[in-house]
Amino acid sequence: MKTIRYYAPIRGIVKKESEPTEANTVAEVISYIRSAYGKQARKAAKSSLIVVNDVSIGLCRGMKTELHDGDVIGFLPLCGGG
Amino acid sequence: MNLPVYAKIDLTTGKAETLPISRKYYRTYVGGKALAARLLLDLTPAGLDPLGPDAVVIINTSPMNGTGAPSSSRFNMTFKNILTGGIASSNCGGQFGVMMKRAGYDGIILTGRSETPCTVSIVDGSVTISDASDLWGKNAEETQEAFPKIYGKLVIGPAGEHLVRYASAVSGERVSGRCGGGAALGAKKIKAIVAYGTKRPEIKNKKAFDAYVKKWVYFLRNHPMTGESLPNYGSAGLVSKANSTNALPAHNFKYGHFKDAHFVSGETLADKYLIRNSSCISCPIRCERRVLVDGRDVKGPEYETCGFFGPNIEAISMENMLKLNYLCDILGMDTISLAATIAFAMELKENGVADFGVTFGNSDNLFEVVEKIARREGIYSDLANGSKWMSEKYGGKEYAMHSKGLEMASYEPRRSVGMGLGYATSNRGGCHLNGGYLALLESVGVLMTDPLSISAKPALTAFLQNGMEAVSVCGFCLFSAQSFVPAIFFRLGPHHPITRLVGKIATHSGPVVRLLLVCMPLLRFNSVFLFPHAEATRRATGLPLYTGSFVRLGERSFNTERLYNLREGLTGADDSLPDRLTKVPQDPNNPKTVVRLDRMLPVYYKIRGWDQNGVPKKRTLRKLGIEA
Repeated sequence: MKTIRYYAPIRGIVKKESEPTEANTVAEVISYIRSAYGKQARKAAKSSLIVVNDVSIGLCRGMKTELHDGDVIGFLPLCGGG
Repeated sequence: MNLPVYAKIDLTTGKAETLPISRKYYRTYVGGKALAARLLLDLTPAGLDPLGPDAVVIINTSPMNGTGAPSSSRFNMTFKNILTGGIASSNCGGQFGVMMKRAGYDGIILTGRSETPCTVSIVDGSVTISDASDLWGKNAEETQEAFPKIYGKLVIGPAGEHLVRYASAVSGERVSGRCGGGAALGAKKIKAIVAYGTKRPEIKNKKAFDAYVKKWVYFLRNHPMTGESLPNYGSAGLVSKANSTNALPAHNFKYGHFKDAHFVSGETLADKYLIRNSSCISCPIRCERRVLVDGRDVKGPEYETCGFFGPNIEAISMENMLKLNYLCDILGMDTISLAATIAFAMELKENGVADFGVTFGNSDNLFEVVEKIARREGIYSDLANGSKWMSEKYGGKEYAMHSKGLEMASYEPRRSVGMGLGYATSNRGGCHLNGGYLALLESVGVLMTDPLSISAKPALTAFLQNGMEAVSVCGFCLFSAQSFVPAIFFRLGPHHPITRLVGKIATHSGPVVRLLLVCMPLLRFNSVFLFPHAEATRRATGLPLYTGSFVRLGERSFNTERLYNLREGLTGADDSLPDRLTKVPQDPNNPKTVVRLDRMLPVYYKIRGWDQNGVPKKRTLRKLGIEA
């Protein structure tokens, strides 16, 4: 089993902090979010910083990144500062 | 045109005189760090002891301070850098700058040394120096409480009194943190500078200025970065972002990723500890975190503090970090240099070189250690001298994480090689902001160039250094410039094919940026999307500032500071990084994860119009209107 963790702004739409998933790729998680919470949630998910086990999917295989048991997929806000 | 007026205050004699700034200097250098660097060059001979009686400390404002423009309350401190021996400029968002200006002075120049602790009061144009023996020994909070609330204050804590080389000066809860400004004041026996006045800055074209400010504020409030991310998460939100791209220093920069970083992330801070957010004067961004420490409502940590009191020492206690942040603020110490020096001490212990009682993974005993450092007790006096000094005494230069003597910020340059170039060439030492903050376009932003490619990095670094320098010169917070990435990329997200394509194109934008830098004077337009600061300053002051001349103002400032460094004996050889970053790949399986400084520096020098030793050529100075 894998875990999805939500942060703002998507957390405000799905109204939960985390949930389990059986999805096998990041793309499947996005599809699940679309079917469970609607288009707005999908849009928010896709514009988030998506990480698997705290590593950006940009350093892995993007939306095709595979998920394994115990993995945590996070939808993080885009932050700035310095 | 109203020219700036400075007060020259001699602490030895206790006398103050008015020093008008010439029209030529005002038009050339405008104010803030640029004008201060020029004055420091003029007023001091080479080779002064930065803590000696002849050292000069300049605290000044910019034309925009107090005008009500967004994020425009930053005042500047310029002095000889206690850590590097070169230039120091450090700005702060506290109330002091605005109040000093209201009191009738755009800046003060402090010379000499008082025999006893003193307070400098600037009230409605009158400067007085009074005894502050009763305040000596008090922390920054207690010291400020001794003065009326309506005063703007700039004070030092025990660390400044004990000449800790990275002591800060504190105004309200905002800090002029870097380079040892607290020690510079402490060496003059200045415990506090307070200001109050009722004079308002004159604005040349008030109606047009107000209209522009309204437009700019609307833009900032509706931009995803300045209207959502920074207000919601502050700069601390970068912890997760940097960690996700392996750009978060961990274990004294040995690694770029920390598996438990979420314990000290901006998201955790917002979810569990944030009680509200707040802001400096006239700032619509409101990035300041407010948290409870021992039941008190105090300012929360910035990204750098989260990174350095967290992953860089492998600590995971947010509670400890909040307390350490507060402790550093009241003792008056820069959290970056302090925590980086502690991380260095931890590695010394790990390598069996020296034991200061600090170990990776443990922040429980750091409160006591930090107190001892601030008061230079016993062996902890060594830590008060910074990591460069420590590495010269104990060894370990290859992992003393500083450049020129100033400890680097919390971005791992082996995953942001342009940031590495910025650290190495920054005039005040290992600073991300003075270094151009290219990490924002490499590893912690939305729109990202290839973080390992050196292709466009020299040109982008030079451009961003100039731009950010100009923003500071005019008195603005650099966060107000973070809206330069178009909002559309935030909506698409960092993983969208279009965002990634633009990032790939930007990776090879070097020739275009170089051309832009050459053609700067031709850019006679202003846009709220790029540098709105130029238009606001032009409307407020009448100075002919457009995008091109604004960036060139930054270039002039950067080169003036460079001249000071060269005069004080720093050379191109000081544009360097520790071996850990240039010789040891972060990822042993990827030899590209090092900072190839040797390949970037020559190109950077050429773009800057400097010779192969990093010295500005005569024609470069002539072009910029700088008298050597």
